[in-house]
Amino acid sequence: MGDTVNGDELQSMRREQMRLRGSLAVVLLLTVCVFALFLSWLAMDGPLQPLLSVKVTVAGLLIVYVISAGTVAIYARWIRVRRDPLLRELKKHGTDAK
Amino acid sequence: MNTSPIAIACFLIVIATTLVITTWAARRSRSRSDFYAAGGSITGTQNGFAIAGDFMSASTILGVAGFAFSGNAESIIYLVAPVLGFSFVFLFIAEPLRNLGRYTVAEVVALRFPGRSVRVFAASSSLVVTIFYLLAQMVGAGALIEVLIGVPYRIAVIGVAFLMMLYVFFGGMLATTWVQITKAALLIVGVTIVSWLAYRRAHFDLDSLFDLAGRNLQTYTVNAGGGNIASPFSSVSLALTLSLGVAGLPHVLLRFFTVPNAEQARRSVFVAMAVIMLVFLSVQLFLSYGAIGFLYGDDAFFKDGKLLGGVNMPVIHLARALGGDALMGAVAAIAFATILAVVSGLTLAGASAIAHDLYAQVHKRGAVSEAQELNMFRVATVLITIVAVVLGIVFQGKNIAYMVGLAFTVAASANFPVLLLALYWRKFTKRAALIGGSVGLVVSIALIVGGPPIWVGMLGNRAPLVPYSYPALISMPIAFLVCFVAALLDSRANNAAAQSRFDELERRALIGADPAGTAERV
Repeated sequence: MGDTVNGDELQSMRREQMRLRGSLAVVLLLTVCVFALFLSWLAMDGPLQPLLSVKVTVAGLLIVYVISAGTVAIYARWIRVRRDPLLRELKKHGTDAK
Repeated sequence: MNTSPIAIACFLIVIATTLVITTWAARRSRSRSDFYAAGGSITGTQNGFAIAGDFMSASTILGVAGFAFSGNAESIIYLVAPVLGFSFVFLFIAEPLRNLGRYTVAEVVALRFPGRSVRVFAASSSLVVTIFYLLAQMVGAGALIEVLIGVPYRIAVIGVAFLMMLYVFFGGMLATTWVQITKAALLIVGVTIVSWLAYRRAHFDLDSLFDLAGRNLQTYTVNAGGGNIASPFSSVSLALTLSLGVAGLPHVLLRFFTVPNAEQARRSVFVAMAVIMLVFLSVQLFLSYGAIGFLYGDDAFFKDGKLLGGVNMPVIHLARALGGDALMGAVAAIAFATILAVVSGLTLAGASAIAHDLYAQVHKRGAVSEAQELNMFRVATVLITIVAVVLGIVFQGKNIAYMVGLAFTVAASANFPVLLLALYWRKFTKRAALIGGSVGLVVSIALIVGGPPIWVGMLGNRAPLVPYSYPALISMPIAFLVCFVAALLDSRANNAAAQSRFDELERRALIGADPAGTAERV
């Protein structure tokens, strides 16, 4: 049954998976860069130094953690809802593989 | 500092516990699979704790708090970026790695590009990262033990190296895993207790703790909260290094081979992220600010204006300030367990690369018995131990958090681009992997050596060749660019056989090596 996971639906799912991964990766990269620039701005030109502006820094840290956990949760949910059922179905019944 | 009997007792309890674990694991570790991957018998939750234990090194509670204590705000990036890095690992690396590999990361790259050359590169690059990281841990371990129980630095380094050798030599991955799980649990308990005591000392008022810390930073530190991240380049470079470097750390990645399927690999990352976020948040909110707030101004912790024991000791002193010698001893023992757990993971990663990749697959071309390979694994373990001792002594007194940054730089510039492109880019070729990865490795090391901490700080030159302490923002894009250009110029290598191999890799990354077990593995 090794070749039974090559149908159109599987290809579509793979493209969807890469698009989702790519989008979430962009969000993560932007988050890390913006946070680093924010800290740098605080340290260089801003009104407060990062370690001194404790509440601002801690809020930023929590926001980054939430974004990070959020991307993982979104991708994990997509796997549960979209990918795993498809692969289980393919395992059971195969597909009209090309 | 005076040697505390309680500290010595706590250290002995940690050592005894880890040796019991090793004895137990040694009875159960017989095969190659047992030594490299604990026979794939670790659950996702256990592996998550082990990943957290493997990842949160001495720099987490000692070096990062030390950075903050001296006013360097880059400590915040050290606590934020790796968490994002684990999200990258979750999205792109964990599942494919579990489905494609058995023992080492180089094996996965070699699956895409068969032959010896790519495997030699991937294994060598893994070794370089492992050695840098190991070096940081040995320096931290030697300093900690010297300060806390009065053992000379060199003897302390040798003692730690001997223990890590015992774990890996006899217990392999199973012993390493349970040492890491124990360490993660101890770390959570220790950090929680110190955090609660700091919060209580601040009369359960975070505002007053933060205000006190802010006042002390302005009064006592030169940087007053800025430090090395004042340059946007350095700040972004460090953040990207620590984020993407996680996805190239061999000792973390090979933990995904220890779980039975991809679902458990995903769960591993979930649990690891939760544990790491909990500890990091506590380190920032209570340990760093607590140390800044409660230690500055108290002469008991300073001599000639310098913190007793050196820059990495604020958390240990904070524990003493909050809970006396008993708590200080306990926290020091937890930090010691932290170091033992990480160095054993690193040693195992290095020994696997040498025994499985360089010896069995490259030198012997796969024609080697399991017993011969395991013998080489043990020889490699001893060799890495000797290297760790020598480097630990040579690099005595350097800030260990920075050294971890060096390991991440090489991981982000050499390992990560090759692994990511091998897994996901159809047009990537073997030659491109070799050239791009090698360029990333050489450029990252050259930039690190020419940067201020080594060229000026260690080698004594007047000005650095490269003005940046964290050069991954240069070396990583160069590695990716060279990979892309080399692959496009090498388009003839993208023949039907290469395409077919990539299709098979994609299929296997999704459903695992055994199609019959699709439902269970995915």
